[in-house]
Amino acid sequence: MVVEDEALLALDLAMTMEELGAAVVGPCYRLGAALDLVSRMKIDGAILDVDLNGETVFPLARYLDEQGVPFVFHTGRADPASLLEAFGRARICTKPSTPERIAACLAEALADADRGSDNDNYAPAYVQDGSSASSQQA
Amino acid sequence: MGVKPDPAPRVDDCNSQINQWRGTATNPPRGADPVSSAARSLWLLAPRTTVSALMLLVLAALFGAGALTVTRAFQAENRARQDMTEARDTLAQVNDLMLILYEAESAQRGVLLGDGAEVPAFRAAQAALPAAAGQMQASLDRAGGDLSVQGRRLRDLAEQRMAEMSATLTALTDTSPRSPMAELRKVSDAIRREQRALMDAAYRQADAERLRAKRTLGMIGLSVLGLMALAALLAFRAARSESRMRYMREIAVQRDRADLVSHELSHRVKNLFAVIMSIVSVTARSETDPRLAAQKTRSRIQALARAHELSSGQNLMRTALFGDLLDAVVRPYCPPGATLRCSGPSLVLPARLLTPMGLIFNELATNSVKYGAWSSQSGTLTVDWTFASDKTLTVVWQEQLAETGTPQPGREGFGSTMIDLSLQQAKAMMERRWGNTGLTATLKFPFSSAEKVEAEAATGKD
Repeated sequence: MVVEDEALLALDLAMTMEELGAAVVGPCYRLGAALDLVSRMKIDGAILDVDLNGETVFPLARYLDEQGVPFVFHTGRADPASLLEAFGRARICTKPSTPERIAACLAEALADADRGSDNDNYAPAYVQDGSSASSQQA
Repeated sequence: MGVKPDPAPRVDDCNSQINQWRGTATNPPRGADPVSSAARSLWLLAPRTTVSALMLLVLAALFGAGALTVTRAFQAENRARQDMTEARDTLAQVNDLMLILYEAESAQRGVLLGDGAEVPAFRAAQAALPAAAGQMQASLDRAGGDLSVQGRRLRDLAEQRMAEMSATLTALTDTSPRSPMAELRKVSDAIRREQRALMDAAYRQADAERLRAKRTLGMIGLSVLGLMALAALLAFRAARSESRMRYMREIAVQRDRADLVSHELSHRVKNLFAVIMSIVSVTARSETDPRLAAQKTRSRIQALARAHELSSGQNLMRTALFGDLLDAVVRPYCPPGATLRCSGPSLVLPARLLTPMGLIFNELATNSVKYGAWSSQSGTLTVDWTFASDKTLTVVWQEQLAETGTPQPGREGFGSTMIDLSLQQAKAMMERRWGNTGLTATLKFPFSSAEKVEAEAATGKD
């Protein structure tokens, strides 16, 4: 799932994810639409922009966190530390990041989720190949 | 699972959109901590109350001292006056006594000289003497000490003299010596001197008391003046610290504002970089010719830059006027000989519309140059806009081909995808019609009510 208020950026992300083999839900430009979507279908992972036209994406992030759905924050915010405080398991890609880098982050998050919650080590190692995200629904 | 809505879910049911600026502006300012500022003002207030209490105490003490001094001065004055009255009465009584004696003496002389009529006068004086002598002695007894003794002596002498005169008169012989009279005068003089000395002493004491009272009153006056000066100083200092605090608060507010603006700017810059990256990759994805791809990428980035250049003034909260945006984005494409006519009210755009509007009008202008009115050198493009009371900006983009012919809708390339995406982002609608003279596109951009208020306020000022 891609949630991003910049339309072009959203399109780029969605296309990249599709090229990597994911079936993309969205892109959603607004929080309301995104919340509506996740209540109707199950998703495997999400890329979330933090600021959506004056709203924050946090209600959606909390919902996904509760559901155990891994996600990546894609944000231009200057303080990633405060994001990690609120969402310990989240991964953060600062804007601007290439779609491939974001895909890699999401792949890591998905891999962590697969390994189970006993692994608390989320060192942001750069994953070279985004293909691990293939066959996943992002 | 695997559902792929195309191109995107409807977004109409979204929460009402909040102006990005307003949203961030409502965050509490980071620098001003209300608790610490309250504590600070309390701390400033505490010493002032202590000083005020101390000043009140000192004032009360001074008043007590003043009242005591004034009372004492009055008492001394009263005492001196009483002493004076008493002394005057005593002197008068001594004079009375002497007068009676003189009277008796002159009457006795008269009798001795053969005037028998003087006898009753002598007897009257003789009768008045004991009462006058008694009164005088009583007065001198009240004065006490030496005066009392002198008084008794005067009385004795007076009575003795009266007895002598009475005896001579009875024997009709005058053998009495003159000495008792001289003695009498001496005693009465002594009494007068004594009384005068007493009076002088009383006056001196009253003067001294009055001087002391004056000094004390002067000191009290000085102290009051000093206290007033102190109070004025304290008030001045309080006012100064107050104004300094106001100044600091003002600085804190300004600093918070600057922080906010710089955060927002940094956020916007990062976002723009991200958008630019996506322009590059999305354009490259749809264009196989690298030269064409580079050209399109450049033109799109340029439109974005122009749209945002307008908002880089001092005030980030106020962005660009719609007319300026059109001018910046569309006019550069106008070929020589062709015409661009823009008309509409002065209208301030919300920041969120800059990117999508820049991209939309860039694509429209590019299309016009490729396939529309501006593809020949004498075409005309007219852009009219209105801002309706329902908070909608309506833009009519009308192309007038140089020669009427079959208008070319142009191929549905990535440009129109970009327009559609940007329209979605702006929550806007576009209707395109191709007539005899070329394309007519009607675009509707809804504003939120907050954005409208801002737009109207800013527009009214221009």
